[in-house]
Amino acid sequence: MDTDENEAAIARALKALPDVAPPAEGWSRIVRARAVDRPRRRPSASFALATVALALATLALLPLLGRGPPPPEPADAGLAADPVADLAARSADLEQLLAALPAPSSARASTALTAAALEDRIALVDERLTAPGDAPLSVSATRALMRERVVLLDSLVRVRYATSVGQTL
Amino acid sequence: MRLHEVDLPSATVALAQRGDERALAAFYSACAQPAYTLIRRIVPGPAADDLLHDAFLDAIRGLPGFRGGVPLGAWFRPIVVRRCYMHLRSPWQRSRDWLGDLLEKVDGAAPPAAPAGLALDLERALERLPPSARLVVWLHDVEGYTHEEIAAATARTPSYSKSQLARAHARLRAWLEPPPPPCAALPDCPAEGS
Repeated sequence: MDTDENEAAIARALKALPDVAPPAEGWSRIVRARAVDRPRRRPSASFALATVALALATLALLPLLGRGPPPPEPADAGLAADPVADLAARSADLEQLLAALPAPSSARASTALTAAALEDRIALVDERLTAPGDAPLSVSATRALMRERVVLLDSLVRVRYATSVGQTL
Repeated sequence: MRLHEVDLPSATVALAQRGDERALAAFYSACAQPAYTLIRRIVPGPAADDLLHDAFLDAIRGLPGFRGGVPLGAWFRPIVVRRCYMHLRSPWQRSRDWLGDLLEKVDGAAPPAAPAGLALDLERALERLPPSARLVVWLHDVEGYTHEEIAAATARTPSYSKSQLARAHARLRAWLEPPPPPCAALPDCPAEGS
């Protein structure tokens, strides 16, 4: 059998592989995700007032309790020695955190611009991490880019968190 | 049926574009299996479930922009492929690829040996390919993508796609080649101890 025939035979065999059944809960999971995605109902005035009162009471009590709102840990602390795998894991954690934050329905233009600039810089880092080319990035270059990605993601989480707190109040 | 061949009646598509739950369920029901097959062949393992989920959410959000002219599955397929590609190009996955390539070079470019006496079955052999080669071989051999289309989908060049395909075929051939029969099964095998 010559090479062309061999390759055609491989292609035929691949096409003949059986279909794979999708997960049983696939559609219900999508329905649930869409329900969460839908714009929330506008809260009633009394609910909004109660939320503001609760937030103010919490803020007033915090100094008495001796602790403030939990600030996210600085992302650049202790990153210098992290291996790539740890940085990738921290990056994934921050992405999960971002995904869990409510989508900003409205934000000040300056805040939106800051978030957009951070997203652009993350995209740029991703581009450099995955740039086509035969030579893979060295470990040190990968580590430096991953470190930058974690710091940028951390900043984006902070901006998005601040926006979402602003929306709630 | 492959994903790009799946179609729905235009009335159902129109309802789905307006967010009708039953029409969207029909869209899922028609496309889930071929889409999942495509994903699982490119990304074997538990991530495939999330990729299917995310691809459908992308598609549902983008459905109002579907202008027809091609089957709905053909419109959906690039969304699925993009999700797979985004997964493969994630820094974590890429670092794993890079490590795998490095180990292969260290080991002398030989793929892990198949168990003695057994040729690998095609499904396992496909899963054993590096992710980027698996993506290229599946898109080219099964989905019918040209090298130019693969290049466009993966932000690479057509020659990258060609070389990935050639390497993938060579590996698959080597892995699938049946091992030589044991000597005792051959007519001219010298008798043991002679």
